[in-house]
Amino acid sequence: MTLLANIRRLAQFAATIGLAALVVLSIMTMVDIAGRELFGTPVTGFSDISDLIIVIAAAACFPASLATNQHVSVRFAGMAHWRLGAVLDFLGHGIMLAVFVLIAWQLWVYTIDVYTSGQTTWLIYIPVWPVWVLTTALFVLCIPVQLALVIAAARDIRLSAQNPAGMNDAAATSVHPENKEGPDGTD
Amino acid sequence: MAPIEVGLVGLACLIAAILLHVPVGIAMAAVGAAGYVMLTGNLSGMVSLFGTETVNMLTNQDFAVVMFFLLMGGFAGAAGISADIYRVANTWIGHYRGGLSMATILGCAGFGAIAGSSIATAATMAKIALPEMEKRNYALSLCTGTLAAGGTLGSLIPPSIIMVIYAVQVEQFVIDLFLAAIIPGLLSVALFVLAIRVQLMIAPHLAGAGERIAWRARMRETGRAWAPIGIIVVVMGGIYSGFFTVNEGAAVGLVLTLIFAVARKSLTRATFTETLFGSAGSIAMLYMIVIGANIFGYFLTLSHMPSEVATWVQGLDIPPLAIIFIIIAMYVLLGCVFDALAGMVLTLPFVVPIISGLGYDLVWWGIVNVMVIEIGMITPPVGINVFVIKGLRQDIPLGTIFRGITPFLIANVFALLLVVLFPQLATWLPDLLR
Repeated sequence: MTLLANIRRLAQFAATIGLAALVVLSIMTMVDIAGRELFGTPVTGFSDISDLIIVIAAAACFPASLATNQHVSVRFAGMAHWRLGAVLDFLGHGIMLAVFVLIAWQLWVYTIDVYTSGQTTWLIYIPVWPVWVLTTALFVLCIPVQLALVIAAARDIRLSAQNPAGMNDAAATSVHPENKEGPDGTD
Repeated sequence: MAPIEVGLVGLACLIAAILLHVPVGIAMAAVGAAGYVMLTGNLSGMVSLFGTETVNMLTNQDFAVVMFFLLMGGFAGAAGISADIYRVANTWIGHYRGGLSMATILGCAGFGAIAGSSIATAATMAKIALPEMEKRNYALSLCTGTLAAGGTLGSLIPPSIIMVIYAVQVEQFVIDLFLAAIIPGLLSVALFVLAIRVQLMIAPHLAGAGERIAWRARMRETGRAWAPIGIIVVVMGGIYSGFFTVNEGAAVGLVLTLIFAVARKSLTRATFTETLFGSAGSIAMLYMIVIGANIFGYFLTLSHMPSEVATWVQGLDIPPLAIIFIIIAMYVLLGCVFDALAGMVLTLPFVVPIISGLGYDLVWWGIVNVMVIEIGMITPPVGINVFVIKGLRQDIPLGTIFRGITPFLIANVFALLLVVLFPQLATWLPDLLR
């Protein structure tokens, strides 16, 4: 199995674990509500735990969304010419890579800040830096995933130059595994 | 260059970037950051924006509800809840001419009360209702038009993911938006059903009538659908009554839907993982759009463009209602080239100061905005719901689907007009319960 395939599997694994944690959080929420309403004893510090899990669950979705190329883009311009479409895809992926590098870098800066200041949650004083280390790691994972898309897009431009007739197939399989005409199941 | 000129150039660059294949959220972040540097000369400030805005969104508890609702919709689809709702609606009204189409509309509304997403509603209901309608020789235009239009109810009937995004961006209570959407949602359902009736009065050959089902069987079928009805009642009842917060209600709904799916043995390990993985992409995309919009929002505020535009519009010698219609027309045009959700997020910094400056209620505008987005979802060329149906049935020509949509589009425009002309349709319930 290639390195890229392993990274993608890791992205999928991260998303599954992150959202499974959200399901567990939902179950804990029900326990908290039952304790609060029926016995007058809510789970102590539940909101602290909830806040931390939500951060990880949301961050865990990013690598997978890149691996499946699910971010909405408007693809009219590329319809004019196949080579233009391939170049635009390359540029779009490149800009996206730059944005994720900046986000990962700044999250690392924030994590160091949180660690040095010894920041904890409000009620039960859980140190929050491990959560931000994990969050930063998830965004760092986005970089190789997105870099792979940039390389694939560059390869498509080269392939299209060598074999213009096969361009559409190559682009469709390597750069655009998902339909990007609209938001997937979100509005 | 004056700040407002930089703002205009930035806006043009943003539109160009989006049209040149840059994903919407990324384009907003990149152009917003570049514009920020141009206006302030502060490079380190620009770089730190990426961190602060990402941290702000990841820790935003109001926005986190989107994750719960998306997962809940995913599990509801896996559990076959849509089929239950459709079956109940069918037993009650399936014997009328076009009864299956009407049942589909009611099914979409019912599923929308769990799913919160138009695309999920259209896709899920299409798999159940389309074969049934075809079996009874319904015209394909009517079948597909019903499904594409009915799917839009997923956004309008609370809970709604678009409403959560609007509430977070405009800093309104999401529960107010959910309350405000109830009457417009029911109005849309009624008008869609009316559109089917009128259509069949003009062209009766489009659909036949089914068999009348005995009352006892109707009650039995309704009883069998206790789970979806129970989930809707518990979640929305709990939220509206104040027993739960919106996040708690969404979490409870997620667990109940999951339990139901497991109890029904319709959730395997594979479908569980598939639902989680499928939702992850949508969740990250929504987060990225809002992070990008916030970075772009910083730039816009620095350029003074939104306030200048709002002042200019308020100075025009035009009645406020005419301005509202101009903005709506702008959204419809924007929907021809843009994804509707991205269009909303992008334009909110301009539109919200105008709306509030004219003295209108921002909760009301949220509902109007969602209704305009619904129209954008079924109008060419980017009518996403149309492409969802087309994606499921490649053999049906796009022209047939768009032809089938026309009566529903008229109904949608009529519903929108009513809500614009009579804002109380949206504001009455939140005002009553505030």
